[in-house]
Amino acid sequence: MKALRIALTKGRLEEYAIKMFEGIGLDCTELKNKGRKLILKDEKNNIEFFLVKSADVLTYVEHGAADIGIVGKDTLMEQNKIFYEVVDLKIGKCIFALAALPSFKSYDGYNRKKIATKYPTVAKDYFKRNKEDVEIIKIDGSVELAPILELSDAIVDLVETGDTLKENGLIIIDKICDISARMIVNRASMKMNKERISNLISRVQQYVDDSEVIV
Amino acid sequence: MNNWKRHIPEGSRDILFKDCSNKIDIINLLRKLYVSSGFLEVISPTLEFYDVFQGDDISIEQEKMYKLFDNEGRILVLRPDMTMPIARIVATKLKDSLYPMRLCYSGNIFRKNENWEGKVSETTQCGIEVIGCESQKADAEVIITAIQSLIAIGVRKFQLEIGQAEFFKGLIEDINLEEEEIEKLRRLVENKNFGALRVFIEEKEEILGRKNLEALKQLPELFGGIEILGKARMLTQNKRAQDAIDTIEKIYEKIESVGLGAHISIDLGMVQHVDYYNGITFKGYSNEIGTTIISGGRYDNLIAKFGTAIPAVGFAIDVDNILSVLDKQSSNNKKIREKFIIHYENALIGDSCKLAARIRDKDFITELSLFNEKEKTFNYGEQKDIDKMICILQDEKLQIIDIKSKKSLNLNVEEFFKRLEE
Repeated sequence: MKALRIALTKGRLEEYAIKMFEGIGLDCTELKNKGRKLILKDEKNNIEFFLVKSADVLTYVEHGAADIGIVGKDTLMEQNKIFYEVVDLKIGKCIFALAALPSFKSYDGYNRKKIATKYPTVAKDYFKRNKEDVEIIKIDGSVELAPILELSDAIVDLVETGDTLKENGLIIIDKICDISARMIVNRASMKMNKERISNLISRVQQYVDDSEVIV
Repeated sequence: MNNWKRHIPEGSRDILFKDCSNKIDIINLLRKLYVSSGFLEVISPTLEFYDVFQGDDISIEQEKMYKLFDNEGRILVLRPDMTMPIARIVATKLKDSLYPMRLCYSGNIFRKNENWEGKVSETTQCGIEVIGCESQKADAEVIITAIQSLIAIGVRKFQLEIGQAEFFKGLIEDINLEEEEIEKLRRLVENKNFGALRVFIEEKEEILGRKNLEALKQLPELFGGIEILGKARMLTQNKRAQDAIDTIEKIYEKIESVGLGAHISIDLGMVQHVDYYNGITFKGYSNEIGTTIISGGRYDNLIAKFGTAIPAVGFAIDVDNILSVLDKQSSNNKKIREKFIIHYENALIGDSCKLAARIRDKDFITELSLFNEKEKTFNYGEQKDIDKMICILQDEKLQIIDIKSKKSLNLNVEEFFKRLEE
């Protein structure tokens, strides 16, 4: 039988995902001592893990190169791809927010506002929903700089603790939505491999529900 | 300035040699299967008016279509779908025909994709449509033909998953939800977003009413073997939803008695958006690739959008996806037949053409050498994996050279053909 392939997001989510998979009884020894290996196996359960950047998790899962992925909702929202979004892992929690300097006014005349963001699709959808016409500028990092240097009037960004905003004198103007990590599944895999994947989903869901009670 | 003379656009591709032959073979095999079952072939234009694909509730996203303008400023598109043009043809040219009518087609559709996603924008579809028949016999025939098609082209392991658009529509029938929220609900079900669906339903508990709460909650999980239908039946009293289950059951029984039941599974949570489908819907998956290889269903309301109400059911096979499946299954058991090259003196062109025609008649690939020197012909044959080189001698004699072993043998023409038959 083909091994079940799971794509994990490198970085922050990695650690939690490992804890979770260990919690439901998978063998993560290789995953924890990965060295230079790219594919990390759990031979006993016939599972292969690999670590990639968040946007790539979606690409691997959509094409079926991975059956399952662990990735943040922010990435899912930014990219319009096809997959099943099966479990909210309730970790890596943060929000999408519209933030700006305190002098920012939501409505001031006819000026088209400039919005800097790493997430143009999310920003576009938000302003479309609010029926506001804005100009979106894509920035790749340190988005907080944009309003300070007057590149933009406001930003749309992920906010976790709000510390970075505060330190730079920015405030949250509006909360757009909640974000957390998700488990996603390729559509064909779900159908061709129903038993194994459904079983994994219910174990993960159980783990999430149990952890929530403890919190 | 950039010059693109030597490039092709992102999302398009050249298909060469073996890949090309394999693709055409599949198309021909399917055509033969459909034509021999009484389907009539149609070709619709590659360029259609934008309006064909644009309707209030049934339309293809405009971002996905390649558009251009004609001389009069009207918007044209490279067809993004095969079924809608057929609906147009049926509602206009064929509206007074004798029904039921079976149509089949093969052609390319065009959809814009974002760059660098590994997707192609021009894909080939082969499909059938059974027009003017509401009976489950038609549904069953279409699904059985779908399974037989996949088997005929050599897809080894696949599942054809049946859904019923009416089941979901029944569950939300008397619910007082805004259209936007119904769309949200539909998307949660479609994406099997179990968690968010649970939350959504709990929030809206009062509006949704107790009646179909459990069914809605469990809808994304209602997929798997035929036993799912029993489970679904327990969850709802809604007449429309119950009828939907009955239809699937009856169709399944028919497929089962043909002996193809093993290929069928059920997904009641299959609630697509581009929804011209109104009854049964189905999608096929294989082990080898992560996308659908076939999709279809009943679309009784589509043809009416073009002016004449006629029920219909059909499917389209994605030939390019099938090719990737076959490629990954590897071990193609196709027998490779010997190849020949004929080397001849200029004066003997008549004889060599006749000889080549006779060998080709026996279904062997035979080329005529374009070289004047025997040695060059031999080298060419060696590099092109040709098995045997034939030189035409005087008096009906042939020299046969086995290119791999370099052994040579003189035979007269009749002896050669006798051996060829063996």
